Amino acid sequence: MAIQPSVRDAMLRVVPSLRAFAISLCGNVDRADDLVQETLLRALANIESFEPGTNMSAWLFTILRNLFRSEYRKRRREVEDPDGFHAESLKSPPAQHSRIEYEELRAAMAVLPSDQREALLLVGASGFSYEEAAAICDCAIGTIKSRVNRARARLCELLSLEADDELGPDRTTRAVLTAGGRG
Amino acid sequence: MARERRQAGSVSGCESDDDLLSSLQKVRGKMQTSLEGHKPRGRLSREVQHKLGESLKGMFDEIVKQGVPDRFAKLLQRIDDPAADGAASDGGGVSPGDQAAGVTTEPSAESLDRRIIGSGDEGSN
Repeated sequence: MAIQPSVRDAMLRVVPSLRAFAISLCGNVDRADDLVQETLLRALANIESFEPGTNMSAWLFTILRNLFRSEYRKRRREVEDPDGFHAESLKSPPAQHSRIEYEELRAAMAVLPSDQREALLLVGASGFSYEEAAAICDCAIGTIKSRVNRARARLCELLSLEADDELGPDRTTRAVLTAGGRG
Repeated sequence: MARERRQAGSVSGCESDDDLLSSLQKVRGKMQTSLEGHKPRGRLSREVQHKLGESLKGMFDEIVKQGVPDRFAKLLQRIDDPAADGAASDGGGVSPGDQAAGVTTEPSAESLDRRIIGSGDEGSN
């Protein structure tokens, strides 16, 4: 199979952010890398359906997102944090730094429902517009917006970000316990 | 109500029972959020949003900075130019069969075998 160097280069350029998306989405580097690999293979196998000049990034993110979701259906229990592992790690009061520790953020991200997590990652981290994110997730723009908003609100609760003068274990614990009560 | 749930499911491209389940979870999620409700949602201060956004990007960019792992560079290189692989392989020799399957020889996760080599999708054309 031969692909044009320009197409290959375009794919290569997307790999770092595609991988960051995958890792943030599934919270596990090995699984994420497998997901990226499978995405690239799918993309190569269907390279004719990619129109040169269109958004390679959005195309690859769409493939990865769909692969993740079909896998996620099979492994929901893992992804949904059934043992409250991530939630547990949030129960200690967050460090009072002005910067949110990535570790805490990762743990809080893991508590989010996956549709909110992916929406927030696409818009808030990967730099896609709401329109592009909606296309990637195959849903309405308004749906993406509301998922992003809910994700932000939830993260702020989990990270006790809202009222700096009221930082304390009580709030965090309450938020986490509520979050953990889903399953 | 049931119809609403189905709609919630179909919005995100859901079709199966599994999806119905996940949309039920979404509905439950919503109810929980509203139970927490003594503080109005959607009024995160600009400052808080900014802080959250910066952290999110920072976390993301930390991974982006790692660049393209060898594994993926090789994968794309090999498909682009199969001949290059035999000459420059440091992965312990890649057989033509492996090339056809388009799979790296890295002994990473065992799940790789199951989900990628086993899937046969890429071998079908």
